Amino acid sequence: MNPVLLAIIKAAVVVFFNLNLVALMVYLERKLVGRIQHRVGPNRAGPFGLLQPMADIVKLILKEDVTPRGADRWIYGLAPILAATLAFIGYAPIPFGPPGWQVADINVGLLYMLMISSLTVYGVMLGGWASNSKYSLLGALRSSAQMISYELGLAGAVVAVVMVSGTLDLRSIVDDFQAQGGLGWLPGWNIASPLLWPSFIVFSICAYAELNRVPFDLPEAEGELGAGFHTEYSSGRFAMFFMAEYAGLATMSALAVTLYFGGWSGLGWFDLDRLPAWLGWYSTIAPTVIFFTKQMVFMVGAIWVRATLPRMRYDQLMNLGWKVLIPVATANLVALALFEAASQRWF
Amino acid sequence: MLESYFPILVMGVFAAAVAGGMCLLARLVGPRHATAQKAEPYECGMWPVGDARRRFAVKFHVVAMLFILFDVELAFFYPWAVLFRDLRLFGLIEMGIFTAILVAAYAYVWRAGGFEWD
Amino acid sequence: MAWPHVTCFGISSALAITAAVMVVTRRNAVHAALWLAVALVSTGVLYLTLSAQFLAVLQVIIYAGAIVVLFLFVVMLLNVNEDQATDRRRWLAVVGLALALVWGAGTALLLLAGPPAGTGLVVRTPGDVALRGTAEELARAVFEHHALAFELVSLILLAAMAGVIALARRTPRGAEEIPGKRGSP
Repeated sequence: MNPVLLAIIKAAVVVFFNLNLVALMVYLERKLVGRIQHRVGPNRAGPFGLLQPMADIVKLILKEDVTPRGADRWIYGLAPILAATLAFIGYAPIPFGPPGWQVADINVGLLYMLMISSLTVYGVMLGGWASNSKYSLLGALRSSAQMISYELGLAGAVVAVVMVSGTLDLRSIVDDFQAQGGLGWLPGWNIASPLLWPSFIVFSICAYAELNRVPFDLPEAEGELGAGFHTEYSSGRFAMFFMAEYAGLATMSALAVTLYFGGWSGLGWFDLDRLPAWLGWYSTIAPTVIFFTKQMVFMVGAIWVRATLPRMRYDQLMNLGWKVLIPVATANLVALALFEAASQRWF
Repeated sequence: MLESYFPILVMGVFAAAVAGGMCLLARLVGPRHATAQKAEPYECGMWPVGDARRRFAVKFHVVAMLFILFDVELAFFYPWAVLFRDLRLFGLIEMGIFTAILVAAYAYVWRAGGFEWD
Repeated sequence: MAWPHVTCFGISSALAITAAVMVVTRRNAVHAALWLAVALVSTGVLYLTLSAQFLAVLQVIIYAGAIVVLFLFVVMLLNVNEDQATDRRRWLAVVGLALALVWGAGTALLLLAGPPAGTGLVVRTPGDVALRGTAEELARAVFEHHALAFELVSLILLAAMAGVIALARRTPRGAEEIPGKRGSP
């Protein structure tokens, strides 16, 4: 098939899938948080409230699109579109299946994802600035300062994985697991190595902070700041910021699965060469199903964290990012280096 | 190699089209009753006056500048981490010196209060 | 002729030049900073056409993702008004333009003359399969051939951090500490 056409189809399918995933998350978040808080959650729109995301989207679109007076029109319009676009293209290098099941097979895939998270700061800053409101701006700048502080921890954690896998290519990091296999049924995933546990913990914490999710959503949640950088946005534009947050969560979850939990590889039982022949067509999509199951585990985990943990105060948050996570990530790298040096007898 | 980046462009175009489309739809479909009150930015507090504002703004600049410096440091970590096993002891010592100097810098910034009131 | 490369080069260089012109002509500081970000990202894409993918991504991460963010922090916090921002000295624009033309002409002449013979400098064409621009290649170059420069970088960063602390310490005249309350405003 013409490679250009294939690229277009893959990109379209993945964007479409992520849109649906975002809609699912809207529902799942409210339902799960409701259940955890011992209440029912949405149950009016459709059976079990399943049509709630539809209702939300329709409501948001039908609302009046108010542009605040004196807002910088170009940037006001650009910010939500930029945020949403970045959140969706972050998913490009993720391998969600065997070779070929990846939108963009790029050599520096992992660094590309860090690049996208660096750029998401713009969505927040521009949204806050363009609203011509001091409170939005303040919320936006605090959000941005938080995001850039935690990017360092995120990158530090990810470097540990790069050390173990020896490549920045997400495809190779996952294929590595296929090769190792583990002790028969134990997967050779990165998470199985205790030296990478601090890295995973730092990664998870930093990912929540990057996404401005609880327990790190103080800049958008404080009483006197309204809703932070998106105070002045209504209807469709607000929906875009909302979508960008969930799409970002999907991307970070997918990245966590790829880096630490073996990507699309099953627990040995579902590996491609072990599947019985009568499964037929299912075996082609089995790895992708496995991948999305793992990704959903992380996304549900994020919702669970949201329902459970209290918000961190801003200075506690910044202390955690700079004074705790960066040293932990660095110590992890040093430990990995020394362990490798000792075990391979470099001395 | 450039060809593998093309799908990113396509994805970007699709995502921007969806996002732009939804914003456009919201503009077209939503009611349009502009009133003066609605256009006012949301305010329910007082902006602090005087030099308190300048003091607090410095923190943001410090955070941003320190972020740049540590980001550059990490930019050197990535290639080392990729070739870490091949570079063996020599690479380890090289990176060790680099890291040690930067750990000293980090400790200095901590002691000097660069991470305070962040 | 590698058409994907040529198209990509054409678009990204046109975008980079346009963005650069916009940076220096915008009256609104935030717009100028954003055009700078566009220019830097376009430069990153240009690196892509030269097969330097690792550098391209790093360019965007550090320049567009950190340095322009700093610029935006400064602009947004200082809240520069548009009328204050115009420099009264109009002749500066003429001087700048003249310098730019001189530089452009000099560079064009140098490029047309090609690399000096016997220096071993080679002009690589896009699609040159020997170079893949990956992190491994850069790592080999840095850690095996430029180890001293690499260590010096750490000293530069140390000096820069000392500079940041020094800048942060300068208390504006008449400012006092906000009494009492912990945590940021």
